[in-house]
Amino acid sequence: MSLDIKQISSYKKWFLYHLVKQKFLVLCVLVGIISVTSLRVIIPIVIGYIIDTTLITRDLTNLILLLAITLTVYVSRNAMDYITMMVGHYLGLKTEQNMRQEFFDTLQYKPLRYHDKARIGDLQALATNDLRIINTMISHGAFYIYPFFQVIMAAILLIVTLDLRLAMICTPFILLYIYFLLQYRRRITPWAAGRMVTHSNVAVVLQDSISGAAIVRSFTAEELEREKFHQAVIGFRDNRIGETKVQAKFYPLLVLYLTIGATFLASCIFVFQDTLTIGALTAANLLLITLIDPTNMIFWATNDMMSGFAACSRLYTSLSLEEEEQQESYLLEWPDNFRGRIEFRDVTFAYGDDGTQNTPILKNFSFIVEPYQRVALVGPTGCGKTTMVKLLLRLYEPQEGTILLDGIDIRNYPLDELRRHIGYIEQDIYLFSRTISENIAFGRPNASQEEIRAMAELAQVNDFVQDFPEEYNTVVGERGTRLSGGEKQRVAIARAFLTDPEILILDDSVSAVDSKTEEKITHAMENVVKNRTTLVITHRLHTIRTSDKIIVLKRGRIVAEGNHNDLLQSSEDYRRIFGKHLVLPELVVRT
Amino acid sequence: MGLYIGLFSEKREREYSDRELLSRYARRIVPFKKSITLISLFILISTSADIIIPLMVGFGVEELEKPNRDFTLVIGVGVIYLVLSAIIWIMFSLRRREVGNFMPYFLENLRMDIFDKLQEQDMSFFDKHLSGSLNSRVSNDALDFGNTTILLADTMGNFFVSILTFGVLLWLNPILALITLAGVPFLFLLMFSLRKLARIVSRDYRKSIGNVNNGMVESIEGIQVCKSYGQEATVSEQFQETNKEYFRTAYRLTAVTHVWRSILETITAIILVIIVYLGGQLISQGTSSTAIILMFILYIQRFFRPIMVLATFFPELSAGMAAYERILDILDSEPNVKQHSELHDVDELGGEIIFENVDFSYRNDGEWVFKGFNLRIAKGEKLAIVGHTGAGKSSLVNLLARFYEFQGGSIKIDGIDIREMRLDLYRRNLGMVQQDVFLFSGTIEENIRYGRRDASEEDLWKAIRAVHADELIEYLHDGLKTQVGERGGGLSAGQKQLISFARALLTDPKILILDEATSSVDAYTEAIIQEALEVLLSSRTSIIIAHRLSTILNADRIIVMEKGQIIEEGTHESLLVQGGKYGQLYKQYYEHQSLDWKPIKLSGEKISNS
Ligand SMILES: Nc1ncnc2c1ncn2[C@@H]1O[C@H](COP(=O)(O)OP(=O)(O)OP(=O)(O)O)[C@@H](O)[C@H]1O
Ligand SMILES: Nc1ncnc2c1ncn2[C@@H]1O[C@H](COP(=O)(O)OP(=O)(O)OP(=O)(O)O)[C@@H](O)[C@H]1O
Ligand SMILES: [Mg+2]
Ligand SMILES: [Mg+2]
Repeated sequence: MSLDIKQISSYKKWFLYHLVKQKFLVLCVLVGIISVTSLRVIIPIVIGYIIDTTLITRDLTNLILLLAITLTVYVSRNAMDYITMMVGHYLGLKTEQNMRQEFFDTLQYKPLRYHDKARIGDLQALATNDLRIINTMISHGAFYIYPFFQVIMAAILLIVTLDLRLAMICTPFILLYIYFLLQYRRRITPWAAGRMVTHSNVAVVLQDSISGAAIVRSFTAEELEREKFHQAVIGFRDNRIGETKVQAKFYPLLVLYLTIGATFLASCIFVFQDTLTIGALTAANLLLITLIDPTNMIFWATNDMMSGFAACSRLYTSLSLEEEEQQESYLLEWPDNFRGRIEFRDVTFAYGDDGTQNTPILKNFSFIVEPYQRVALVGPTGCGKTTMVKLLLRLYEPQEGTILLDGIDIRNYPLDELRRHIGYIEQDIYLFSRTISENIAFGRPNASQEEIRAMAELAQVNDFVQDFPEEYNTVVGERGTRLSGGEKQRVAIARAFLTDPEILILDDSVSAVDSKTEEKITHAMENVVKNRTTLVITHRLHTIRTSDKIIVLKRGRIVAEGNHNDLLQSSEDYRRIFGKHLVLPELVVRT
Repeated sequence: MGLYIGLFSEKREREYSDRELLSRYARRIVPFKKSITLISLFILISTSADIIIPLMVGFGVEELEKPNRDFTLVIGVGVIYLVLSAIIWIMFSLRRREVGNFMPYFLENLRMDIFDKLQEQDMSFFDKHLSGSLNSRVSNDALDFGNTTILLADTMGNFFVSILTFGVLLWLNPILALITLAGVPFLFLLMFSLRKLARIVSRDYRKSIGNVNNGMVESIEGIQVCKSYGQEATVSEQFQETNKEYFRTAYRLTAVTHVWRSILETITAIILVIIVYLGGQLISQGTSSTAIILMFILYIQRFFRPIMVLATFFPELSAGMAAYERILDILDSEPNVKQHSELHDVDELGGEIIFENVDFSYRNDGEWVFKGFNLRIAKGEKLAIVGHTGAGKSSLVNLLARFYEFQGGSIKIDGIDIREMRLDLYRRNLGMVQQDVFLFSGTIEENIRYGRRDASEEDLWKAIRAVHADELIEYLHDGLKTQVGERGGGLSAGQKQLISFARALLTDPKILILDEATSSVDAYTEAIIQEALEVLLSSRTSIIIAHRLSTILNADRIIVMEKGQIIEEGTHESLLVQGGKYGQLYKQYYEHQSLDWKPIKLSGEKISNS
């Protein structure tokens, strides 16, 4: 359901697009509004009529009938009112739901470049607060149209059934009323928009200090965090104050009350002159009084609408910020005879938007990994090892050069298939706050329990899970905080194994595992790794030494390539990896 | 069923009675009593004007019905009507202004209180609560609850108004007035009984907003995993459940909260019709004048408006209380980590640490991480802890940092129980590099300075150089001003570790704890850091946890942990001589790790730490 934002050029169109999807409901709401409004306006007329024909003439013959009619009108108005309201809310909530799903799905398919910039607190606020406000706008939007109906109807009735002169008196007031509304609308706009921004800021600051709770505590930085949060809250508060100030100033009921007062004064005079009946006076009065509620609503609805559009614009911006990952490909299916030859050809890559401006992380990167080889990628911290893997997974697109798998550009493979066939055990392990078995099954949700257990066994997960009272149903907590560092890594290894990938990439995946467990895992892997191309990023020398090929990186360039013995002789950078004091002569003796 | 829903559903700590909720709500409101009084007053004035208006209409009509009408009287009535209308408007405007004078502040206080309470919590609280749901409480629940405070202000004013109006009705026609009044208890009873329903549906709704937030956090934070496994569709599908649930609960809530207005208006209409009928009878009997009945009709509507507001007070407050409950859940949850009431102000600790018979379990479910754990770390000692994953190394550190409360025994530093020290002063003596690195979004410099913002440029660079991060900072485009991104996502894993290492060093702590501080850093950099640390660690007590044994060879003492127990201890050499678990680990490690692996020698000869 993710959105093709290219087809929609502005947030207003985006909003309309969603509304049009529900045209039937929109129509229902409109019909409902018209009928409710008509009924609402009829009531004062009926009461005026009753007063004129029965109470004043003291002729009670028709009273019961008339009252029965009145009651029917009342009851049907209330029923219609409720139904219209519920349909309106249904429309609002449905749209909200659709938009939220669309938002979520679109985010899922945004490239990582987008997520690097996005702030989680912001996205949370967009998914709850902003969408709620859009919902309010739509479901109360009905009330925005309906006061207009009512004002118009009231005016017509005044002219047609009651008295033209009263209508004339009302006219300037109505103009003033509209002026007031427009003014109000203009002034409230910045505050209405500020509401979401300041709300977002509160969520962002809060999210940061909740996620970093342990750091805040260990550095006793509670005061600092409090101050940051307080600033955000004050921002929200001040916006709120500004909003209410505008509301107080442009309260449009002013005009209405004046209208009511003035018409009454005039009616009195007309009755005095015997040119108006008392019933008409009452009716006119009641008619204008019925406008109080709608005016009240219009007052709130304007606010809702301005915030609603601001929310739409925020969401639209967020949705359209980066294009979605390119999904189409030449190859429709994953080739059967895939072997796993990886080639990087002159790849240059930099993070950030305007790629060329930033210093490239990888420069003219070229290498080949033959099928079923095990290749170690080594190099100092920050040299671009992880980045290279992200390119292979097409989490980012290189600015220059191509990456080939079995001689075919990876952009020609179907994206999701490509990623599913490359198993990547990431450096910073992320686990979902679900059970251990659900985490292992993440890459293959339909895996059987036996398969999960088998993989857990291989990755030495079973080792520690046995000690848990709930075993595989233990919930691991947000990000897996309830597991130790090494336990998390093992769950992640099991998760990758379960998908049975053609290419396996281990990014420092045993750094938090003791050497004994590591050995067990390595043994277990021997079988898994067979007939697979494996890329290993590691600082553990044993693994490096026994690889078929070693690629040495430094500052985004490949500085050496070859097997252990050759490199040891020829590459200073490679020797550096083995520590500081390693000098060549000593080595020659030892190896 | 979607995974999000079942597992994320939060358990309520305890149930709150209406009474308790109300009284605590009232306590929150007290500081704003001036505003509330003013708002009530404004409502009172404006509605009184509203009450006088029909009287004027009645007067006017009566006068107009007379054969010889008095013009000035009629005009007078009209003018008063006009003036009253203006008063009503002014009052409305003033009321709005006053609302602006208290609502935002009320909300500010509420949010700060929740935040402060969150700051008091220890880590076991954050293990239990997902950040999205906590976030929702502070942002959404607090907001919606704040909005209900207007209710209270409105209620007071409307209460007086209805009494006043009733007085007028009574004066106009006692019989009809009493008949009208007969409907009121019924209204209230109805609304009162609806409040439970309101609470229930509102509770579900609030929970589902929290779930939406959780779903967002999970999916966005885990986006890279999700993409690497090509599971976007599955995750979306799961979120769809959460989203649907949100729709369902929200719709139910709307259906319930909108129904009472319709019910109330219908009842009002019925009463109105009855009154008109009876009024007609009275007029025909000649016991009442037309004008009076007319006024009565106008009044009934005015009488019922405040009554309606009053009646909806219960269910609406009840709905708001569902938000308050969730907030109270946080406000009332006492942190497990408790300090004693008599606290020592610790200034500078020496650093002798003694664990005595410590019992500890994370979940308090009898699954002990430590049982009767004993350890003594001398002042200035450099202690290394090794052991299998899950042995409890990080847990030990967590206890020392007071992230979790232990169940039995004691931990003493310089002879003072850590539970007797002022927490903030105590923690200032600790410096930690945690296994899970967390950086705040901001620049590298802000992150390093996090523990000591006023550190001099010189100290800053000293810390940076000690962890050999100067090279990396020079390498980065914006140097110290590089934005690290949320959680430090814009840096490599090793870079993050170095930054967090520098951050800990900058605070110049008495006790330094390094939990796998250089596990993602290359061996060369690690070796350089190692040298720098020799100097840095000399004056402090330090605890070093590492799987890479090369980093701990120079430790004064090494302890080997297994399943929460110390199974061996001694210096590197003596442990090798012992040939136990450590010997095994070391052998394995060196088989893996070293090029120049030598058979373990029994002599005390120093083994090069390459
Ligand atoms: N999302 C990002 N946005 C901007 N810059 C980034 C991002 N991720 C990494 N970098 C930068 O790119 C460079 C290479 O990072 P990378 O993660 O590839 O290093 P690495 O070789 O994996 O290092 P390590 O051994 O520490 O894991 C670093 O200088 C880092 O600061
Ligand atoms: N927050 C938590 N809630 C519940 N259990 C936990 C929590 N943190 C750790 N545990 C459990 O306590 C045990 C000890 O974990 P700890 O993190 O202390 O291990 P460790 O020795 O640091 O291991 P590693 O070398 O892998 O980091 C593990 O079995 C782990 O699952
Ligand atoms: Mg990396
Ligand atoms: Mg640990």
